[in-house]
Amino acid sequence: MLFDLNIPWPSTTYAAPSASEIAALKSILAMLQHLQYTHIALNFQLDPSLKLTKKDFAKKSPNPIDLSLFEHQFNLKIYTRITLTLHDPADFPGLKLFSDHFDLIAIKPLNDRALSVAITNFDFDIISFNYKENLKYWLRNKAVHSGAAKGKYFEIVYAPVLQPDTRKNFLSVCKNLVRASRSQGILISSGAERSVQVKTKLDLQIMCKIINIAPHRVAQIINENPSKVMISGRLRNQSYKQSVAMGSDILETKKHKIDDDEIAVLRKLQKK
Amino acid sequence: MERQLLARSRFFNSSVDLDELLQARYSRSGSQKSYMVLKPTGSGFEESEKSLLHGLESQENVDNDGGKSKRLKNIPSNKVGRLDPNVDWEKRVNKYNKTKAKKLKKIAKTEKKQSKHIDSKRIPKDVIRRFDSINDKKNKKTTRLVFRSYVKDTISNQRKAISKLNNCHEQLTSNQEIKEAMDKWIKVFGIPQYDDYTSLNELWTGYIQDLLFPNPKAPLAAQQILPKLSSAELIGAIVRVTDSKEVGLKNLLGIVLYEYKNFFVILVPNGLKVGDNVSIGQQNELLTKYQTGEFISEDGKTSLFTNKELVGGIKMIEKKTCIFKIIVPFKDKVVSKNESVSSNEGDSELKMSKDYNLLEFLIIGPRFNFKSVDRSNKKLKGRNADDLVDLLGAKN
Repeated sequence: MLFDLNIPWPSTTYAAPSASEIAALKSILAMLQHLQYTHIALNFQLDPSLKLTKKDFAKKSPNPIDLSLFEHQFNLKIYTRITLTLHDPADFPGLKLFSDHFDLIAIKPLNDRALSVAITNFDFDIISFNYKENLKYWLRNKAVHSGAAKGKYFEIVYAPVLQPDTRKNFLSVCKNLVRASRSQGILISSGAERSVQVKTKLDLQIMCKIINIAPHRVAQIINENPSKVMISGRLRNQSYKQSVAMGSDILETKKHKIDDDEIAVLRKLQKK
Repeated sequence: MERQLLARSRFFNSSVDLDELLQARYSRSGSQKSYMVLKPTGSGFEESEKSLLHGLESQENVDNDGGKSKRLKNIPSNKVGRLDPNVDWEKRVNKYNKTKAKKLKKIAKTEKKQSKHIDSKRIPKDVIRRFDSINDKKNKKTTRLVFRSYVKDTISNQRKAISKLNNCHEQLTSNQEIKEAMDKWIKVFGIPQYDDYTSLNELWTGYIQDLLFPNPKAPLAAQQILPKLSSAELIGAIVRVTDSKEVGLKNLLGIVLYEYKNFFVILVPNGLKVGDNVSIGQQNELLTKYQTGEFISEDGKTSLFTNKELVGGIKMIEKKTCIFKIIVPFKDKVVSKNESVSSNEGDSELKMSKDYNLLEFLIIGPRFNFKSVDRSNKKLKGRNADDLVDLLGAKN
């Protein structure tokens, strides 16, 4: 199993994407399937300039991603994710608007205070950074570790490394993150906008080596941590406080059907 | 004055006695004493009963003193030593035994009556005796303690039955021989059978249907159902282990008999093949073979079931290491085939199982380790879900 939890949704607003954009997205998904990926998350990056309130979602769903476009075409489990940019935690629209409608919730803090406030107060899964620009604040070891202890994961998005003008920024942010986190609580994802930018498992292992991640953490970053994030995210919606859930498999996205054999067994054990 | 006072005493019947006493008291030659001498009256005083040994000692004293001991004189003669040679001890013992035997017979009769009455309901005698002891004032026991001892005993009995079957394993070559031996040892050790408890499951399904689908016309959304289920009683539910960290528990199925904080006590049906490589389909096939009385493969060499699976019975399952699945049937009247189950978008789960009229729920064991009483009151909390990866994560 291989995870890629960041495939950007073409539009950042609630406008529907054009047909060509959808076709490009499908080509990425086809490539991922070819490279033996199994679990994919489509990432809706909400435009921070949009000021949304509860009234806006009275009629439409907060989730613009239409998964029915990809039904029966790919042998992939496709989830939805939202990324919210956090500038000032005070005028934050509130996660409750979105938490019921997305499988994963990620935040992108723009300053130190937003990061520490989000970690202590909000319920989300992933912390992401803008790897195309330099980080404007110093990541403190304490803040990062308290996040990792609470089950939040820091994301490395490797698409910018493939473009020459953003490569140095990517490396500097990665260096900052790996130093602060001591390569714990990190996961890696593509953020690919074109099908060429998706990499195989072997490439990811080499990339981890380049950004100086401890060798024994590499397998965790590629396999374990994404699956942990996926489970905690799915449990938020599918279960009641992680105790009872619907269906028989939490990670299953297809429509659930009860096994015929199961019913046969139950019928045989019924009272005669 | 003294004379007047003494005259009222009943000891002095005539005035002559009084005069004598007073003279003796105040004369110089008489036996003057500064106190009154009181004689024992001999009536209105009895010594308390003493043990047999005490009686023996006192008799020895009599021999030594030559019958002079005052203490013995005071005790009435019928209560002195129980080993009185005049008493016919054999008679007495026989009498005592007869009365005791009568009492025992009475108790046995009442027990027989009770057991006859309850045998029709197929509850073993042990259980009745145990539950009788709840009312026993001397050995007061709570239901929990009684049930614990019951579980302990039946599990040990199961082990004995399995070992008995193991001992004669090589001699049993035909299906019929196996069945006879199996039935015999199940009966001898009183191992509870799945069929006896299916009515418990029927009771539970009625309860859970009322709880989860109170209004048949407007079914609740999934997010309203789940909190109700998390605080529901699970005794009587049919539970399947979908995944476990322990070896050999996967795909185990049974009725919940009791729920502890960390354990489910479940009753497993006989002939249920369990193992990490056994799928539900194989389980189904083998179950038909069991019910038709096929215990040996067609070559006649290998047996299809282990002795453990043949015996069945009670099993304790730790919640911490398992993920459970329960299946809840809809109320029959709620869903007809043309009716759509719900109009909400969120509960697509409800729609698709319409064909079967069944709903599946997962119980995440590591987050479920509360007593059933506490579950309804305690506020559950979502935590770091990293420890659930082994159980819920994608398998490849």
